[in-house]
Amino acid sequence: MFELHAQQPSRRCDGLHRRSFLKVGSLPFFGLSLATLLESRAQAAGTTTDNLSCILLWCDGGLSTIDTFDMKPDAPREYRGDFKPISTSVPGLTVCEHLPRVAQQMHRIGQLRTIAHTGGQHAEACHFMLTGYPQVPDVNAEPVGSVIHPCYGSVVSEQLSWRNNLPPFVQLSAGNIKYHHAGFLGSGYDPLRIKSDPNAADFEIEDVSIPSSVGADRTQRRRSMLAELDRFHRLADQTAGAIAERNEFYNQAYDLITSPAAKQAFRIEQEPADLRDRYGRFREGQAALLSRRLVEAGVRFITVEFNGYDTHDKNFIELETPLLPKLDQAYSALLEDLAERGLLETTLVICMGEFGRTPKVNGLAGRDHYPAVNSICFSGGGMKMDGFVHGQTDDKCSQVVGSAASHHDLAATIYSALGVASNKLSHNIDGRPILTTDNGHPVREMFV
Amino acid sequence: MMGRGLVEPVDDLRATNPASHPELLDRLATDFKEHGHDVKHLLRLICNSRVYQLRSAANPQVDIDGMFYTHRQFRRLQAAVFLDAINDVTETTTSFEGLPVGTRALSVPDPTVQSYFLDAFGRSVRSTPCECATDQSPDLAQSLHLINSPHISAKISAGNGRIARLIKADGSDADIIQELYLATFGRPATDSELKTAERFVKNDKSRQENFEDLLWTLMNSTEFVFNH
Repeated sequence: MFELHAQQPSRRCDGLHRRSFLKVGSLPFFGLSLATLLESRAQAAGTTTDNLSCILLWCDGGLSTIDTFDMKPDAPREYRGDFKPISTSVPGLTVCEHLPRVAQQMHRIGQLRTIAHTGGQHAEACHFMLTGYPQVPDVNAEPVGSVIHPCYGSVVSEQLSWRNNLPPFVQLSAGNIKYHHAGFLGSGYDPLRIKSDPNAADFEIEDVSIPSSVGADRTQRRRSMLAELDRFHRLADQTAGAIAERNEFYNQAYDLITSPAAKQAFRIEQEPADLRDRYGRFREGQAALLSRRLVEAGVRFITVEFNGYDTHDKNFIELETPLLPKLDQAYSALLEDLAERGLLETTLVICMGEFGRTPKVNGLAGRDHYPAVNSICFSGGGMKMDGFVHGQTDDKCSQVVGSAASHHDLAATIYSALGVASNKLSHNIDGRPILTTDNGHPVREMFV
Repeated sequence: MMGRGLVEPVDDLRATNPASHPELLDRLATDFKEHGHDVKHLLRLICNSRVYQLRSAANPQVDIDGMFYTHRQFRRLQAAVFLDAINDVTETTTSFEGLPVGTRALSVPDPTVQSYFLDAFGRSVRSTPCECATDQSPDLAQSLHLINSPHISAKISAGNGRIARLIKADGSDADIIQELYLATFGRPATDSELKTAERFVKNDKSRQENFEDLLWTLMNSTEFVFNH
């Protein structure tokens, strides 16, 4: 298999273009997804106590936990690496010297260090860590199994639906994130992907604002004309599949276009300049700030991508700049801001990558893929904080000491924190029964 | 052509993913061979078949995913074809960076040429030798783009576009409506459609705007967006 493609947003070692993967057998899924979509929207009308949200800071490529949150300063030099630990707001707990501002927020973070999986390549690791299920992709990162599972945000979308005319699931990322979509649930639960840069002066969401040349009145008129003239449109009730699905998207699109809440939420320029500076004037920083605005407006699940953590070579150079300073600034600002606004109790913040990295530094001063350890940072949403750490890795960060938890447990933990059923039964188009997690158990120790 | 391969997905030929209709596949393969691997002959054969010509309305409860070919599957136009169709209908062009003016989207050779439209509607990134890498699933961004995009809007109201030309020519309402129907759907409007459309364009607003709105409506219709 050869690669012709050069320019791509991904900086991963496998060089695969991270496009959307919902294509193998996507057509057959439409019928199912619409039925469930309508059903869940109907159900949501009766829901009352759902003020929970989630922000996932996704360190794409695999954050080196041994260099950041789970340092081993007493290990031999070829293991401990170049960085030194510093003290934090929690006595006795240390983090990397290049995360000084996160260090001051460690009382707002709890860590889970028992999650291990076996996915040594990015694609499968993403599937493990973003959906909770295993997947065996082929050399093109295309799934081999017949079931592609939905990621956390899509499950949240499916079970909890829209809120305040805002899509439940938003992705802030320049490119696509592998397996960060609705899988067999159907594209109706895919994230709204915002690829434009929130740090740009002219930042706006593609096509959400009505063009001034058209105006609100004509937009409304066009919609009613369409309803009357589109002869296939009326077939939608009897036609499962693409048509019905498209109509649902049209309704969603109008919800979004006509919603004042949506417009307001995306106006990041209304934030005070010093707060924008605090988050950092770069894509990820402003995306983190935008994610807070979206939480306030009613979006349920927002993923902010931090790209470039696949540090096979020059691990320490790249982490020192630009990777960790960006994460440091944006992550710490987000936690502080959420806490100050009283939003942290209802907002689960997760910071993780698809795997940890090899304990021993390689010949290129890099670290390679290492799914046997990870250190996942949780804040808010009813999770233990104050520097709480569950689980432990050995003296070289090479394996979990004691019993490891599985990716299913990670999924169940996240669903449990968000009030989403982790044992809901769905069926893919073949009628195969699939549970939200495969017997995952929430890691109870993580909860207050 | 059918919206679904005899082997699905079409590029996944292996023993453990058998064809849904193995006899038919064998028959087509034999016929293809017997006619000297003549692709045109094969296409003609398929197009002339009863199954290809089935209507799209059917009882989907029986065959939701079209695996049994009981009805015609709706298929959204592919991204490049769709963009070309929009340009044809509005009589405008899309310029691609580094390519001559008037280059059709279908002829854009390089997947790194910037185009929001092609990205949103799914195009092959050509990272593998397989055209299957085009994603055809609908999503919210596509609906937003068709409904609300300033680019599409500018095409509809372009000073040298179809609407502007028709308004300048000052034909009757009915003539303009018929031309728009022919351009978008490839058929004249039915009597009732004509009446409805005439009602829409008769008001105190500007004629240009009225027909822009009508063209927008036709371009957002299922009949235009989907192969059916």
